[in-house]
Amino acid sequence: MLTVERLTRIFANRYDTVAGGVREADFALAQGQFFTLLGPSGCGKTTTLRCIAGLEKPDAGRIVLAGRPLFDGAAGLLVPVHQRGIGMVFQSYAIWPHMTVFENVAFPLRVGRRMAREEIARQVDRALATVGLGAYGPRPATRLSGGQQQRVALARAIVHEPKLLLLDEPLSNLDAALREEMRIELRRLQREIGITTVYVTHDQSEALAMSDLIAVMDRGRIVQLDAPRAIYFTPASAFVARFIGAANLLAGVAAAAVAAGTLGAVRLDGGAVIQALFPAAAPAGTRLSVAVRPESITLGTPDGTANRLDGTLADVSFLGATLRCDVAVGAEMLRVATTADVAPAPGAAVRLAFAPQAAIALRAEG
Amino acid sequence: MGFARRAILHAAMLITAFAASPAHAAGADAALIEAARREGQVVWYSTLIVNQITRPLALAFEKKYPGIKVQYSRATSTDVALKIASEARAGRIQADVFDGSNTVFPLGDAGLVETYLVEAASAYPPELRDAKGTWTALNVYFMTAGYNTDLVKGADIPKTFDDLLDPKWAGKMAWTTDPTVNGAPGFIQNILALKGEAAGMAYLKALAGQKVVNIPASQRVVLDKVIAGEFPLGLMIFNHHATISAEQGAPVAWARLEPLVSNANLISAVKGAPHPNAARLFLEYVLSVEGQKEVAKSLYLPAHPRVQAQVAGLKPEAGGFKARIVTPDMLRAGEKGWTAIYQDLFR
Amino acid sequence: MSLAAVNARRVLPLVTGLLLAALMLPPLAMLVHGSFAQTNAAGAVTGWTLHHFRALLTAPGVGTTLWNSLVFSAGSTVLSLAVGGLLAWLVERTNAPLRFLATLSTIISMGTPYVLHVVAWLFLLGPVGPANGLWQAAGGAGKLIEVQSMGGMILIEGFLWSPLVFLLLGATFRAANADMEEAARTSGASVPATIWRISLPLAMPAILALALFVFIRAIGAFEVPALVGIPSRIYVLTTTVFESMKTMPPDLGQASAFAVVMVAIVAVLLHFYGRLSANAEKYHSVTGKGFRPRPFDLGAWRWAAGALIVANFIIVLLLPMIALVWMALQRFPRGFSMAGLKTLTLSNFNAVIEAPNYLDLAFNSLLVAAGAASAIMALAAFAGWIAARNAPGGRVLDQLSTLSLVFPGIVLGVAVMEVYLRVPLPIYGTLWIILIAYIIRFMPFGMRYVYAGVLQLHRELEEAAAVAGAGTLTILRRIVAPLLRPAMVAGWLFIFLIANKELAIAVLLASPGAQVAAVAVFDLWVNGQGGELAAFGLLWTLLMTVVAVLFFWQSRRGGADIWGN
Repeated sequence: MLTVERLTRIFANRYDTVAGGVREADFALAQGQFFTLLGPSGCGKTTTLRCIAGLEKPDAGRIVLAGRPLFDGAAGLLVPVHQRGIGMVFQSYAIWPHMTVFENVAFPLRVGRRMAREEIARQVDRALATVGLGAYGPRPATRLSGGQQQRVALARAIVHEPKLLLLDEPLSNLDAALREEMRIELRRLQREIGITTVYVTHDQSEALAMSDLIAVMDRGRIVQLDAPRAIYFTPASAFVARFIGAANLLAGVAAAAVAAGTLGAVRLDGGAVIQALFPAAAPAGTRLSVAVRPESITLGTPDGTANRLDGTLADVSFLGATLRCDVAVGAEMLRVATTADVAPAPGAAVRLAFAPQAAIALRAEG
Repeated sequence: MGFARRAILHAAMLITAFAASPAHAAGADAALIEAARREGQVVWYSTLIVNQITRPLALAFEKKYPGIKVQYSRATSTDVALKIASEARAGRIQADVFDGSNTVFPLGDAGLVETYLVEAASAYPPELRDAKGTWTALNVYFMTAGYNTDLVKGADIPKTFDDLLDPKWAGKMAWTTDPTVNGAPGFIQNILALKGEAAGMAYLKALAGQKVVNIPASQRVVLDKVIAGEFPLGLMIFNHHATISAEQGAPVAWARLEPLVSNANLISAVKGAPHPNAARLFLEYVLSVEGQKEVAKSLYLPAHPRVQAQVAGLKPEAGGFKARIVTPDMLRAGEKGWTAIYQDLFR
Repeated sequence: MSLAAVNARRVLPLVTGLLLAALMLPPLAMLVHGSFAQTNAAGAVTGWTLHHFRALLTAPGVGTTLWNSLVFSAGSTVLSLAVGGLLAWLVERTNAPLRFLATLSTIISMGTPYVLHVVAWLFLLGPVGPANGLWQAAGGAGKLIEVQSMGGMILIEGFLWSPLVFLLLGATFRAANADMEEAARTSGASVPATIWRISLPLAMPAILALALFVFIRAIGAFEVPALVGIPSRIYVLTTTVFESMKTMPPDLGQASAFAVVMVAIVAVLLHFYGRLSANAEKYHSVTGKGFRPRPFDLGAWRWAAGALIVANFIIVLLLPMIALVWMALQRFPRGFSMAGLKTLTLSNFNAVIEAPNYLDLAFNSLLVAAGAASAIMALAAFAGWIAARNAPGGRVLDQLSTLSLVFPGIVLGVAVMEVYLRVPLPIYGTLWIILIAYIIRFMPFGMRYVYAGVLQLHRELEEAAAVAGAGTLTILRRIVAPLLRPAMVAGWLFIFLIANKELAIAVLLASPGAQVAAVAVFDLWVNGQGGELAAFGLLWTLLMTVVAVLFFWQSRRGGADIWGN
C-alpha cells in the first residue's frame, strides 16, 4: 500500500555537526496495516511522517502510495501535499478556531473537488458519528475539550476517505485516562475503516499496544522494523532493548565465538558466566549488553537450565498485580517483576534465575 | 490703538477713492482673452496662504474671465522649485505660473521661466519688476521686530538696532529659521548695509551673544510666540501680521527699527507651460490695479505703487518709515554670504 | 492535478516580490542616483561625485549631531517601550481597572495630527504654559521644565510612539501562554518576580524586535527634533540634513546621501530584526487547542495600576486636548489665564466649518488613506505570511517592504515624484501619486502587523489544510486570512490613522485638484493660525476617532479583537 525507499531528509544544523532528519528509511506497508514510527525525540520519526504527508521535501528516496509515486528523488517527482489524498491528525490537532466543528470536518470535502451540499453533510455527519461526536456539528470549534478536539481532528482526517492516515503523536496532549481510552478507540476505528495508518509516538506502550508493525528509529535511522512481540522479546540492539521497555542490561563479553541464533556463554563484568541467546554472530571477546526483561526473572526458585545470579534485595515496590524488586548484583542494579504473593524483606540475600532464551546478547553500544 | 484705527480709516477712504476710478485690465486685449479662454484654465503653483489670498485671487480672476478656471496648489518655495524643475526634466510641465520670493532664480537659471513683460505692471518701480520680464512683484513685505505690548512698554520698546544689544533681551528674542531674506539672512544684510562691513560684523557678533532663539517655523509662528508671551521680542516678523493681530486685540505691535527690510513675492510664468495665454492673462490680471486691490483686500501688501494697503501705514510712503528693499540682484549677489554668517554666528 | 496550484507556492513570493520591488526600488534607485549626482540649477545631472557623502560626514559638529541622534532615538525608544509596554501588559494580562481608558487614549491620540500633538505639548510645557505657570505661581523661581531640550524631545517623541508600542506589544502579551506565568506563581514567585523572570524574558524577542523598529523610526524622525530641538540648538542628523533642503535651490544631494547611509545601516539592523522576530515565534502561538489567556490578579496593586492608566490618560490625552481646546477657543495665542476666559470665542470653529475647501480635502484624505491602508494590508498579507513562514524569498520580501522605514518623508516624496513623472500613466498630478507614496511609506507598518499576526498562528493550522487537500491560495483564503483578520483590521486602522497625519509628502505631491487635508493643516501651521489649526485638528481628531470606534465596535461585534491580534 505504502512503500518508502531510502527516504532521506537531512537538516543542516548551524550549531553542531549532529544534524537532525531521517536517513535512508525503508519500509513497505500492506493495506490496513497500523504502522508505528517509534523513537525518542529528535530521532527523525516526525520528519519521516512529514515527508510522507508532503509537508517536508525529502532530499532523496522514493515514496509510493497505492501504486502512485508521491515522491521520486531520482525522477525529480514531487506531488504537492494537497494532492496526495491523505488524512492527518496533528499533535496540536490544528482545529481551525474560526470554524464550527462541522466546517472543520467539511473542509477536506470542500477544497479541490465539487461535491453537493447534501453529500458533504452526509459524509461529515458520518465521520462525526464515527468518532462519537454526532451532535457537535454546529458548535464553535473553540468550545471543545481536549478529547473532543482530538476526535474532531480525527473526523477531519478520515472524512474524505483517504488511502492513508497519518497520526503525529495525537495522544500526547491528553491526560492518562483519556489517553488510554483514545488509544483503544483509535485502534478500533482504524480496524473498522481498514485504513492504512502511520503513527508517530515516543511512547513504547502505545506502540506495542496498537501496532501491526513498528519501526524503531534512532538518530535518523530505522534500527529495527518488526512486529511488536518481536521488538519486545528480541530487540535488535541494546538501544531498542532499552527504549522499548525497562529491560535490564548486563554488561559482559562473549566467552567464545558464537553463531547467529544460537546460545552462547557470556562472561559478565561482575565475574559470573551466563548462557544467552545471540541474535547475531559474535567473535570471542565481543563487548555485549545482555538484555533480560524484569518479568523473565524469578526470585529464588532455581531450575536446572536457568542462569543464576546472587544479589541483595535493595527495594520492593507494590504495584498491585506485581511486585517490583530492585536487586543489587555486584555493581549492577537489576529490576525484577514478580507475582505479589512472594514478599521478601529488603536487605535479604536473593538468588535470581532466568532462562537462557530470555537473555538476549546484544552488541554493546558505543 | 489709536494709530491702527486711524490707519484703517485712512485705508478705507483710499479704497473708496480707487473703486471710483475705472477698473480696466490694461494688457488684456481681446486676442489674449480669447486665446486664454480656448485654453480653459491656468495652473498656479503658489507659495501663498490658500484661504487668505490664493483662493480669493483665483475666484476674482474666474469671475472676471468666466470659462477660465484657476487651478492652484500651495507649497513652500523650495517645493515649488523642485516640482517645476522635476516636471520640466520629465517633459511634463503642469504649472503655468508660480510665485515665491526666490523661486524664480533657480528656475530662471534652468531656463524654465518665460520672459513676458506684463503690461499691467508698467508703472511698477524697477526694483519690483524685471526688465527682461522674468518676474514681477505680486506683493511686498516689510520685516521688522514685533513686541508684546504687555511685556515691553514705554522706554523699553527698542527704537534702534543697538537697543537690541541691551543685556535685558538676552535669550528673550526669537526669529524664524527661514533661510531666506525674510529670515535671519535678511536681517544680516540690513545690518551690513546700514553699518558697513566691519561695524556690522561687530554688531552681529554682539547680537549672537544675546542668544536669539531659532524657531523652525514661519515668521507668523514667531509672532504668535511673542503674543503668547513666550518671547517679549520677535525679530524679522512681517509688520502687517502684527497689525492684523493687534486689531483682534492681541497685545502686540511692530517696532520701527529703521530701515525695515523689504522684499517682494515675485510671480512669473513658466516656459513651455501648457496654458501660456491663460498664464499671461492671469499675470496681467493679478498685477493690474484691480488684481492688486484683491491682494490688498486679503491684507497682503500690494506691490502696485498706486494701490494702497488695507492699512495704509504698513507701506513706507503712507506709514512714513524707511525701508531697505532687497532687490533680486542684491539677493543673488549676497544671499550665500548672509546665510554663511547666520550659520556661523547664530546656529 | 492543476499546474497553477503546484506553482502557487513558488509563484506567490515571486509576484509579491515583483510588486514590492516595483514599488520600493525605483524611489530607492532615485535616492542612490541623487546621492552621487552633481546637478545644475535645473536639477539635471552634470556629473558624478562623492561630495554629498563627504559633506555629510565632515559637516561641522557631525559627532555631536550623531550622538544627539543616538541619545534622542534611544531615549524615545525606551520611553515609548516603557509607557506603551507597561500599559499593554496591564490591559492585556492583568485585572487592572479602567483598562478601556488606555485603549481610548491610544485611539484618540493616534488620530491627532503630529503637529497638533507637538504644538499642544510645547504649549503645556512651554515657558508660559500651565506647568511653568503653576510652578511660578507656587513661588518657584525660573522654569520648572525647559521643554526645548533633549529631555523635552525625548518626552514628546516617546509619547508620540507609545501608542504603536501599546498596540503591537498588546498583541504579544495577549498571545502569551499563561501556563508559564502560572507555573512561576505556583513555584512561589511573587507577581513582580514572575514578570521579571518569566513574562519579560518570554516577551523579550518581541520587545527587542519592536524596540529596533521604533529606534529606526526615531532616527528618521523629523517633526519633534525640528520643532523642539532647533530652538535650543540641539541638532540631530535629520534636522541638519534638512537644512540643506530648505535652501534655494534645494540641495537634495546631501539629503539623498543621508537617506542612502540610513538605508545601509537599517539593512544591517533589519538583518538582526529578522532574527529577533524569528525567535519570537518560539514563545507564543495560537494553537489549534483551546486557548484562553488568563489575566494576573494584581490584588491590592490593582488600584495602583488603575491610577497609572488614569495618569497616562491625563498626560497623553486629556491635557493635550484641553490645551488644544483652549487654543481653538482663543482668537490669538495666550497662556491659561482668567483673562483668557473672557475672550473665549467659537470663531475658529466657525472659520473651519465655513471654509469651502475643507470638506473636499477631508474626503480626499479619507479616500487616499483608506486606499493606501487597503493596498498595504493586501500586499502585506502575502509578503508578511511568506516572510513569517520562512518561505523561499521571505527574507528578501521582509527587507524590501521595510526599506522605506527610514526614507525621510520629504526625500521619499521627491523620489516618488521623480519616478512617476516618468511613468506614462496619469499618476503624477492626481491623488494616485499621493496614494502610491503613502503605500511605500507605510508598508513597513502593515508588514509588522501581518508578520506578528502570522507568527502567532500555529503552523499546523495551515498544514492541516494542506493535507486536507487545499492549495496554497485556498489555505491563504480559507485559513490564514480569517485567522489574520484581527491583525489585518488593526493594521489597516493604524495605517489609515497615521497616513492621515502625514504632512511633508502630501504637501509636496499635492497638485491642483488633488489635495488632502494635510495641506490645510500645513497652511494653517505655516500661517501661524494656531487657533484655527487647533479647531481644525480637533474636528479632524473627532472624525478619526469616530472612524476608529466604528471599526472597534464592528470588529468586537464580529467576536474578534481588533487591537493587535
